[in-house]
Order: sequence, then C-alpha cells, then structure tokens
Amino acid sequence: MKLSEIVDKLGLGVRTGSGKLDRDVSRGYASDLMSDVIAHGMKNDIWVTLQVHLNIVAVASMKELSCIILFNGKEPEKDTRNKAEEEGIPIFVSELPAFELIGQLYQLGISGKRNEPKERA
Amino acid sequence: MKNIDKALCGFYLTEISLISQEIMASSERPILLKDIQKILSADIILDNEWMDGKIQTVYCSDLMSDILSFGDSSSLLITSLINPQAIRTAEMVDIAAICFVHGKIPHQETIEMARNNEIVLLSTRYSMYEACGRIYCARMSKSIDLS
Amino acid sequence: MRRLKEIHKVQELVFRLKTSDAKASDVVILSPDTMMSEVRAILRKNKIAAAPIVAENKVLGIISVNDYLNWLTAGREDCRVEKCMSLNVKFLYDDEPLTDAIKCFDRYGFYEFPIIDRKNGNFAGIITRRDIIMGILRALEIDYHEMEISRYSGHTFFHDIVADRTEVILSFTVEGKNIQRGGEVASKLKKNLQQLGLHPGTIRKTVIATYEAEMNLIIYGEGGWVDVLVDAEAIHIEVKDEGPGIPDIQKVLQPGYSTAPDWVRELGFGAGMGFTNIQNCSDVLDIISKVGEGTTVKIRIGLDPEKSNKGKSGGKSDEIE
Repeated sequence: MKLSEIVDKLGLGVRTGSGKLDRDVSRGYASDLMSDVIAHGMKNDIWVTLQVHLNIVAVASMKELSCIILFNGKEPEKDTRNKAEEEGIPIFVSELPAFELIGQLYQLGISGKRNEPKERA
Repeated sequence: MKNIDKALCGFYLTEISLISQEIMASSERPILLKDIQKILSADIILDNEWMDGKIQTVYCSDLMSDILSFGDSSSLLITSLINPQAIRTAEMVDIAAICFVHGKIPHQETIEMARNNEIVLLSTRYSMYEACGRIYCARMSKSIDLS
Repeated sequence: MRRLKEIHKVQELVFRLKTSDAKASDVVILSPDTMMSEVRAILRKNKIAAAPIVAENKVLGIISVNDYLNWLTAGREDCRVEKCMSLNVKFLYDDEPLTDAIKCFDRYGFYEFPIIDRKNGNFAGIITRRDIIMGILRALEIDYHEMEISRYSGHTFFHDIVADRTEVILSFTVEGKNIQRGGEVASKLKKNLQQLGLHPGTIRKTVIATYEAEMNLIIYGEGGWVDVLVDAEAIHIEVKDEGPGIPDIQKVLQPGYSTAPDWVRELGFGAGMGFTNIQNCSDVLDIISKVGEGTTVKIRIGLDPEKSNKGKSGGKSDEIE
C-alpha cells in the first residue's frame, strides 16, 4: 500500500516529506524507546511513536524506515522537522491515541510480522 | 413501490446499518482477559485464576508519563517495559492488567509487586504493533457479529 | 489485596443500596373496582403472587393468591377487590436500605412488597425477591471506577474529627538513585489518602504529582523528602532535595524538555513531561531552586474536585526557602 493512500484513509497530517508519499509499505512498528527501534526496526517499517525530538530522524534514517507517524496529535519539534526534510523522512501526525491508530493501520493491511526475509539492498 | 421510494428505502437502510455498525464498533463492549490471552497467544505470568476479568480500554506505551495519563481502571496496558516502575506506574492509575511484548518476562521481584497489587501479567511474543493490531481487529469483528 | 477490598466494597455496596435502586420497573397494580373473578387471570398472566390495589397514587390494600383462594373456597359472590383485600399492608419506604427489604422477606414470607415514597406517601413501586438479586447484580456490573465514585460519600476523615483545625501530616524520605524503589512514597500516600476517605479524583491527581516529583528526587535530586499536609480544604505537598538545583525553571516546565541521561530514558522515563504532569494535576505549583544547593517543589491540590482553581505555576531560581 502506498503512503499516500494511508495518509488519505486515516486523515493524517503531513508535516514533512510530502514528496515521498509514493513509497510502498506493508509493515509497522511501534515503540518510544530509541534502543528498541534500533534493535527491532526493519527497513521500510512505518514507525508509530510519540517522541518528537531530533533523535527520531537519526534512528529512522539509520534503519531506513519509510516514515514516522506521531499520535495523540503530537507535533514534531522545529529542529526535527528541518532534519527530517533534509533526510527525506516523511513525518505524519494523527489525532488518535496509539492503540486506535495501530488498529486502523493493521486493518488496512499493515502488519507487524517480524519474520520476513531481509530485503535486498 | 415507486422506484424513487425503493431507492430512498435502500439509502436509508444503508445509512442505518452504517450508523449502527459505527455505534456498535465504538460502543466498545468489554473484552475478557482470557480472550486477549488467546488472541495474543500469551503466557500467563499472573494469574490463572484472574482470567475472567473484563477489559474496557487497551493502552499501549513505553513512557511512564504517558501511562500516567491513562484513566480507565478496567484497562490493559501493552508495554515492553519490564522494570518495577512499570508496575508502580500501572498501580498509580489503577491499570488492571499488563501484557509485555517480545516475549519479555520481568524479574521475580517485579512479579511479586504485581501480585501484591493484583495486577494481571501476560507475556506475548508479538511486537507492540502486532499485539495492538490483533486485539483491535478481534474487537471490531466481535462488535459487528452482534447483529 | 485488591480482591479482598473488592469483596468488602461489595458488602458496602449492598448496605448502601436502597429499595428504590432495586425496585421493579414494570408493576402490576389493581384498581379498587377490579372484580375478584379477574384476579386469578391477572396474577397468573403476570406470574406474580400478589398485587396492590392503588387509587390516586395511594395504596389501599393488597390482594394475594391466598386471598383469592380464600374467597373462592368460601363460595362468595363476585365482588370488587376492595371488599376482599387485606388492609394490613406490609410495605417499605423508597429510601430504606435493601438489607431491610431482605429482612422483611425473611420475616413475613411474602413474595413482594409495595414501595411507598416517604415524602408524600404515594405508591412508588413494588419490590420482589428477584428484584433484590437483579438490583445487586446490576450494581455490581457498574465499572469498578464508577463504584469508587458512587461510594464516595463526601464524608471524609475530617467530618469525624471535632476540632477548630485538623491537619494530617505525612512525611517520607526518598533515597537517591535507588530507582528500584521509585514510586513507593506515591503508593503509600495513595493508600493513606484512601483511608482518609478523599475523593478518588483528588487522590489520583495527588498520586500522579507525587510520583513524578518522587522520581525527580531519585533521578536528579540525589534523594530528598516528601512532606504532605492534608487539611479540610486541600492537600499541600512539599518535595525537597539538596541536589544540583535547576538552572532554568521555565525550561523544565516546557513539555518535552528533559535532561535525563540515557539509562533513565531506557526505563521509560525522561520524556520531559514530569513537571507538565505535575502542573496539570495541581491547583498551584511553585518551584524554588538554587544551583548547587537544591530544589523545593510546592504543590497544592484542593480536596473538592469541582472547585479546583488552577492557579499559576511559578518558580524562583535564586532563593531557597
């Protein structure tokens, strides 16, 4: 499913990376602990979090995640937005709380399964 | 019946069924702990006797300050934190049950703290995302089955 | 143990229920000119053993299956129920406890009692044994949280003590860096405030604010003291440490601002919401701090959740009390 479809269907606010919505995504990960995402995040994952500081961009970049979705209406900090635009990382905002957001993503077919073979570079 | 009337009837029927589906989906009937345990294929850390409890709201978080804002006392918290603080924080806001993800299991001391406060502890091998997704979907399909 | 507490709550719930909480919603009554010959069919159709005779909202009498049978076996002529009804009606008032209703059922062996509104003597319904069970079951299904609120009677510890001024002082010491024990003070405070009979909403705010302040003491303050004073109007919390102090108080009040080291963040803390959470929970928040000497955080939470006035939060970086 394309990021643009997800943005549409869930009514997400696009804060950065509006040019990168063509990406195909199929998997999601949720965590607010950087070390956790570094350990378990996989390439192209949608990352659901409420952390808004600069580090999220570094982690997303490092793990080549497809985008970051902030929930509870959290807005990314200014530095975070700038860095994300630089790195080409889309950041979206949802008004929903985490459980509901994940549930709706899941219903769209974005699963959390972790045992997929690593994608070729 | 005139064609227009039929069409109107059809329209209203669809509207009514959509609205009632929405109402049923959002009315959030409580879900039993034992159902959650099945949906997540979770191990029961504490306690086999407590699985008849009902859960009204499901929260997921790894941040204490976030958890402190949760309100419902018949709620389930899904978290990856297994330190004693997670139990303490859950106790502060009267959370009834905690499910740890990635198959994590806390230390015995932490389990005892939960036992003293009668907080249910489960552990699932799924990630937080997967666990939430599964419960959400199971709940949605349950609501629609009511009709 | 919470389960034991729940059992006591159930017992308390039963004692608090009134007959009006459990009475049946649809009742069968007879008018005075119902004929005796009709009584059997009415009782049978509605599966009841007796029905009160009511006119102009007042209970005139009651007719039971026994009364009907007596009339039948005596071979009397058909007549209005008014003539055959029992005048000696055992009834209950709508504000009597449910436990009284249970005693009455035991004592008299009747199947149902009419309920009378104590204020005006009007007929207010009927209660049967089944209604008592259904009433209790319904009450138990109420969310645990709602049970807490509904059983909050507003009757606190302070109502029982007779004095010109009453204050309860609770003092705690917090060890620095011992994060294992973080939250112990907040937990103890919670139980104490419950003992005092305070409103659950007030307790929750107090506990959250204390917990956040306690964690600050442990993580940043190298330990300290938590002193809580409860009087009839408010809870006053003073959290004190002799740690590094806060250089810029306005910054720590900003949501998301955090100086937490990594090991703290990995435990789920350090999101920078500590003071924001405290602020949201308190009516008044004052932070007094001096770098190199320590910090004092003063929190005031009004006991009456309806009357909470959110005052401003402030802080002085230079002086220490």
